[in-house]
Amino acid sequence: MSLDDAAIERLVRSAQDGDAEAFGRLFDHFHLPVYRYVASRVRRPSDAEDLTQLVFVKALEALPRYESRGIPLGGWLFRLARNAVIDFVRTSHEHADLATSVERAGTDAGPDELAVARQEIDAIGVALSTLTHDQRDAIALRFFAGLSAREAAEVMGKQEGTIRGLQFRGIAALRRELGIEELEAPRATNATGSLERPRLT
Amino acid sequence: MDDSMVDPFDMGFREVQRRLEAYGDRRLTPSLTATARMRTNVMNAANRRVAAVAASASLTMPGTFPTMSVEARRGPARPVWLRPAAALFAGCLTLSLLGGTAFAASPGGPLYTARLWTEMANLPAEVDARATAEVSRLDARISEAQAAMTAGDGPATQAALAAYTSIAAEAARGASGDATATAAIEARLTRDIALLTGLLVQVPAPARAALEQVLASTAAVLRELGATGRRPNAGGSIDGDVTKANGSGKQGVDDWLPGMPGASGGSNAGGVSGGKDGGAVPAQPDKTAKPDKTAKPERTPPPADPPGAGQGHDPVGPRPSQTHGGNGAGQAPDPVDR
Repeated sequence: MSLDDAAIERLVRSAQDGDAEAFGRLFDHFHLPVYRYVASRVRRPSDAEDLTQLVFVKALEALPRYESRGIPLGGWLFRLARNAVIDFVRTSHEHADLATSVERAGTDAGPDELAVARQEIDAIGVALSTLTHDQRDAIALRFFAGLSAREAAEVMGKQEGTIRGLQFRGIAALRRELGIEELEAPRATNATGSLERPRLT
Repeated sequence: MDDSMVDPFDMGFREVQRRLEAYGDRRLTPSLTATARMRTNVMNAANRRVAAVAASASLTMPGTFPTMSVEARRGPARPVWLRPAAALFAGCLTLSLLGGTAFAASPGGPLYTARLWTEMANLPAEVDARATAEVSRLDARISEAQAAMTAGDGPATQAALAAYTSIAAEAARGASGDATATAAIEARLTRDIALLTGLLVQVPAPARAALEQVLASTAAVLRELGATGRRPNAGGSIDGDVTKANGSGKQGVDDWLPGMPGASGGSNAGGVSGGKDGGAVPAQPDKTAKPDKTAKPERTPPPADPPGAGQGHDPVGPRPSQTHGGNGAGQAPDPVDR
């Protein structure tokens, strides 16, 4: 579901007027990035599910006081989600254990491809666990939740440049962990016009 | 991803990005079941909110979800004087309870029986100490009766006297077999009879019957105590305290004690036969006259000597003088016969 900012604004006003269906449409629009961000920071998918519900229920309660003063609803929701994750980690003494997450592989992949993909994904999970909290937050908001650097900066309460720096250093750390060397970009495209797959070490 | 710090031709970055996206798709995407579950729960919460808004539409701004502020949760602000007023009210309530309890425990009150029962339950088990406590209780009842009479409270007087009667009987039962305890109770009852007899002329008419009953029952208790082999050690005062108060026709103590020694025969001789103006206060009785001295028996003449006297044997039997001590030699008669 794709909604532009004006549509989101209308849905917000309808929800503030007591329209439950409008809030349902907002849930449909935002639940996936919120869940992915939360799931990247907690160990179990069930916890991610509970926390996602909690985020939207809190949003429901706070929606009458919400005013869009330059902060889009997405940023506001992710701020709620980040606070919920911090509270959860603090109270349950849990830390993200990405390696234990449940894999939901596609059904169209063959056994060899699945095995390779699983190795890659497991390696990503291990590499993510080596990042600092801020780097992981920045990576999760940018790559899993799909926020822009500015939106991520608003969520984390930092400057946009800081977020870019965190992302840059996080990516560099992941490349070191994953063994992805500096690759020369294929300046020439192949026959199909797509970028050539880089060589991996 | 519009990031100025990322070279779009950096294949290493693109590879990391690809792997992160794959990781997100495979590990961080909720299942359809989980999505449906979350949506259902969130929509239920939203619908509950809407219902709450509809229910409290008169209390909330239209079009807003009902949210309570901290002040609303705390309730309205309490005035400053509320706490001292509450303390004052609590103090007044406590005093009222205490006063009401004390009033209810006075003679004739609804708690008077409970008070008597509590006193009885707290009596000591040892006989002498118990008798002392019973004497104190009797004294307290008499005081209560006197106070009620002074106040002209007939029901309170009756209640106090009824309590006195039951305590007296109970004390007599508890003291049976113990000389010291019995003596103490007898002394107390005897004094009380004198006192109550004196009060007989003072009490209002409704309480007079109760007082007469108390006198009768107390006399009965004294008789019971005397039947155990003891006599009232203050019998002298009983014997003389007969008062027919001011021609009222009421009986005196001697009449309450028909079986007591010296309680019947002409004992009213020394009583008050009527005072001034109807005699509100009975006079002190005169001293009881001593009985006449028993005349000495005549001397039995010595019998004539029968034949064979001096043989040391009396074939008929003992001589008359021997029945009076057997000395037959002109000695004084046996003191028992006096």
